[in-house]
Amino acid sequence: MSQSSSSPSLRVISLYEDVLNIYSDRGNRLAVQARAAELGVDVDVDLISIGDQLPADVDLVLIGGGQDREQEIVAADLLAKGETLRNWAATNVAMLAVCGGFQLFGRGFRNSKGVFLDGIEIFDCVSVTPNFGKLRFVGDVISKSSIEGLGMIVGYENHAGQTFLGESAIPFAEIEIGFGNNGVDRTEGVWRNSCVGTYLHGSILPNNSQLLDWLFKRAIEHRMSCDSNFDSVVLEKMSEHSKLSKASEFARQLILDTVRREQE
Amino acid sequence: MSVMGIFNVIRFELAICLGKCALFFSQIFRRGGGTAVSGLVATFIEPNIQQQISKILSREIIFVTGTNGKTGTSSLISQILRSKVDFVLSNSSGSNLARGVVSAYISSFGIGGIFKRRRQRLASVFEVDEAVIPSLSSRMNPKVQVFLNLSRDQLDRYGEIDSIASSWVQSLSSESRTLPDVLVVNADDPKLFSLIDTGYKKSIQTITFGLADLSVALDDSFDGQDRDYCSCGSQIRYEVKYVGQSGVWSCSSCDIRRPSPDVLATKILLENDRSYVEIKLAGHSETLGLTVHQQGLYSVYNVLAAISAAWGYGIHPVDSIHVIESATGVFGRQEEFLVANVKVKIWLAKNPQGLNEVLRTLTESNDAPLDLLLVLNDGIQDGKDVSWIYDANFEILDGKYKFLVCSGSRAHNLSLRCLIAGLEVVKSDSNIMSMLDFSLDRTLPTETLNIVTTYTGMIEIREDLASRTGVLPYWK
Repeated sequence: MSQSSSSPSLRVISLYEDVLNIYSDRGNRLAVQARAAELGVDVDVDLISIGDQLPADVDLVLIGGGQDREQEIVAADLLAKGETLRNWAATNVAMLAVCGGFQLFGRGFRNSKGVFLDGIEIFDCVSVTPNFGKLRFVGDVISKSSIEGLGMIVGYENHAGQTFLGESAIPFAEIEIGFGNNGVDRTEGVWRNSCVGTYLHGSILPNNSQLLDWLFKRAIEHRMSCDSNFDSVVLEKMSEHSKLSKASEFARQLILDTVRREQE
Repeated sequence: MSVMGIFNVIRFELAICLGKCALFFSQIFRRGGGTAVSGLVATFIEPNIQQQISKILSREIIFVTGTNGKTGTSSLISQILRSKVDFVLSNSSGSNLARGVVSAYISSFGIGGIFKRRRQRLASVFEVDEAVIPSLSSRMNPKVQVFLNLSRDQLDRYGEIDSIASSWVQSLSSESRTLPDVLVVNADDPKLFSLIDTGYKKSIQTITFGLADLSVALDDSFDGQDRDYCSCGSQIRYEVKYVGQSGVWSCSSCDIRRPSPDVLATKILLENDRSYVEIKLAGHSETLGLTVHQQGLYSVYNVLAAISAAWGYGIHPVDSIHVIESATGVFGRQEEFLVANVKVKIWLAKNPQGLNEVLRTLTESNDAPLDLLLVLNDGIQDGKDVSWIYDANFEILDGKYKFLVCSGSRAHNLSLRCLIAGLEVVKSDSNIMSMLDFSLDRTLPTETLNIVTTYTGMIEIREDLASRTGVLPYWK
């Protein structure tokens, strides 16, 4: 925290955390803040909700999951922010969209009442809720990320919506245990540029420090591209062993072992 | 009695008899309390057993449900009722699914219970799981139904909160059941308003309870709070919040607001090991004062619910207050043990709201730094999914503890959560007994070791402490 006093802050926004917060996805924001504190990076975290203006310039965007009703409540507001978010996604702003947020970051989502909510089209995917939501995909997930170097991703899924990827979309991970996007094609989530969409709670970033660092690094690179004063020594520090990544790695390994054992 | 009638009685008594055998054997082999398995066996033989039990009890039944406070509130209501009737049946061991009602009947009455009602005045209090209440209330038609609160808990099992809330309202709108004579509802929780509304519309006597004392308002700096929405879609606004999403609320666009509570706590003093509460009843000018021997604001809500339920049952609050002041606690909830001169206190917490209230009570009521053992298990009764720890306010512990130890089958997730909150965990291991010993060693004789644990951890720790100190396990 000492060396960073002259370096500009990393800019993080968490969208609709007070509405889409049923599934502890605020843990992702807490993990980003804890990692930043450990690395001595200053972060400005803005909690952006319905009716709030987006800041001019952002490095990392977080959004979590919610129930049908809550998704309906944010959908129109998110559409109004859609163009800015799409531009950010195209210019390598880092993003993590989980569950309900992931569905709305795609082309759209038909919920259990049959209402179709338009998405903001950051990801090429469409989500639907078959069977009026009677069938839910619930349980532990183990998947292998298609992003180089991330390896196994652990988490917990609980969703009635099913997501189908378009032709241009790359799945974030391949399912080893669990259901994933739709329970059929073994895909889990989606990724593009510096943006990841996923169904995984847990929360996902505390339990997968390699994904946390991937997003964090891309957020820093984005800040450096905007702001030449940013101290790049942080990037070197990230590869060093840290208390947080050690604890996270330990938790991830135990979850991998336990879930695989229970599966047998 | 017709042939069918005799057949039914025989089948019922056979079911109870075999259930009793199952209870006996499971206790011999010490498979937990055996409280669930006896109900399971009996229900297998007589699928309509709950309806039969309801008949035997002549519908003298009170159901208590909600995310937090079921066991504590049910226990208070039972103790109040015991001062008025000959016998109160309850599932006090906390087995709160449909079979738990049957198990309670079996362990209390056994064979021939059908004849007991002629000799005694019976009543019953059952705590009922949130997801089970619609189906069980349509089978047993309770006279009084108590709704405490609703927040997220075990989403892996219940799905979404909204579907629970609407299933409760639907169960009161069902044509196929006898509606309760009395509804008791927490007026401060906006998620329960549609129940109050349904009660008024269906002309069910509806008793509401709530708080009115700004001195115990919730510090609103915690950013993990839910926003709540009215049925019209607009946001709920708060004048003040007391516990979780309970407070003095109103809709920001339509005219729906917190109903004026019939049982209102107007003054609350929270102290180290008790609370002093003043209560005002609707239509009465005088206030009633009482001392509650449990800590925390959530315990005050339980007391208000119990007084309201007893009032609905015909017992005046003045009479209830006498019982509550001398009421005994519930196993594993703020239960104290003395282990080799060290005081140990167990706190049950199994969802974000419950944990937040326990942590708030611990940090507000203790000036000295806390000796803390936190336990997180992921058994079926705890919830397989432990994501919820990220919705709880561990950050509140910052600077408030002497030492912090983590344990349970998900100790690694718990200590990671503490680390993210900036807390220092002195030791973390999945073996609960070794972490209990480690924590006891570090607790000085003048201090209290506070253990905050999920359900199965509580059972395990309580059994161990009970054997060390000679306190009986819960099913004896």
